[in-house]
Amino acid sequence: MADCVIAMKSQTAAEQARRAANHERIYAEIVSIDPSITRRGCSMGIRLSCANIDKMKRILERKNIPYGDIVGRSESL
Amino acid sequence: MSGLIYLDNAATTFPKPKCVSDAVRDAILYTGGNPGRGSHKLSGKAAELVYDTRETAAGMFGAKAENVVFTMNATQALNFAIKGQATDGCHILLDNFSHNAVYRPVIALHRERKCTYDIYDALGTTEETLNNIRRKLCPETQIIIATHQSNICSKILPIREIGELCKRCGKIFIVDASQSAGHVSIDLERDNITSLCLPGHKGLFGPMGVGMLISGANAKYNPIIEGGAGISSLDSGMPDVLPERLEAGTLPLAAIAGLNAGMKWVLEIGQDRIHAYEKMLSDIVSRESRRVNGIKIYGKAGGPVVSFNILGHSPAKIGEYLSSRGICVRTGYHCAPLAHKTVGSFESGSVRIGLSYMNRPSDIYTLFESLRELN
Repeated sequence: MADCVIAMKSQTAAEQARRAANHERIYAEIVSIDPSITRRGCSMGIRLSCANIDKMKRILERKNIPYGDIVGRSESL
Repeated sequence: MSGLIYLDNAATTFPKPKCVSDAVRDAILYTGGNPGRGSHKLSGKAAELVYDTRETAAGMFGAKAENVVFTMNATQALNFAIKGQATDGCHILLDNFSHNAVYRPVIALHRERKCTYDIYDALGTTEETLNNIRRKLCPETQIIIATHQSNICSKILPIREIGELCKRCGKIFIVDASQSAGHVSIDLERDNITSLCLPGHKGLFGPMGVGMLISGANAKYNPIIEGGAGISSLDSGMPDVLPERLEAGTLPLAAIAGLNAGMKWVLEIGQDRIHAYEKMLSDIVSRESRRVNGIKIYGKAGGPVVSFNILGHSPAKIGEYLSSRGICVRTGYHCAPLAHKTVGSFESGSVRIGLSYMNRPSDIYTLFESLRELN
């Protein structure tokens, strides 16, 4: 399964998201997002299996953790 | 510290627990990276440590982790809270125990004609203090500031009740917890605090170099320092989310690691137990002081901070004399002229004892033995 990256609003939000994911037994790791993708410069995101994206978005919304777009898909970690 | 008796814990606590120096050392030796400035392993490890510390502080003070902002010290936190929230033409209320870390930012805004201010009397009972605030409230009042515990005596302001008043009136409530954090329970939600400002190196037993501004859910700040935040580098302004909005520049990772260990140490012992122990030490101070000729204690006793003078001796001379005997106290005005006016020691300042959980009753007996010999 491919991996997806969810852009996060801040390093703190990315750390919160990673912990929330792990708490729900979803493996996620924090990654830097290519500045050309967000067009706002350096950004953080969490990378996780695309199969968990919808579940992860629900977790973020439930926990009020601010996030942005799904900015990337890749076939390998 | 062999041979020295340290009674200046209101300035900074000493010694620190071993877990604090271990955490500082480990952060320098093994963590190393710059938190929030990269995705490599050491930066990630540093970011995790920073977030852990936010969570510890959030749990201790009833806040959310993202609302814990690291600052250099309580003074910077207070400047962020006051200048970052005051709007043009606003009115600010501060109490008559305020430290210069509160007084000077307010005066600076006043001199720039951005705000007016009034000082409310907080020397009396809770009801008297609340009435004094009510009397000074006006439609333009935007911010009410309270010194949770004075830095020259053990007076504690009723922040829960003042917070309730602020909530009812829709005012921003800023609390200076420089002397109370770690000694007395504080909960942002319960106490209706908008902005809690505190140092890491006093009652939380962290190292010098880190403080915190912890905010309630509705706090909105204009940053007063701008710079790199590790995210949104192409934007010309600071990020709009806390904590990054107020954290321009590299964080003091080693100090944050030490603060985390200090807070966990305090939580393990328990703030109630610390408070009770310091009360016991303070009771010894009260008893022993009755045996010193010409001593005058200022303000409220019964807590970890006690100020006094001895007839016929200047505070500076007493401090020098005690230092020659290996006893560390602080003398002068303690950056709090308003408080000295309030308790009646403005003419000369005072000698201040600051107690901590690290002191032993024998420290106090030795202090008073020396003071009796001064006479």
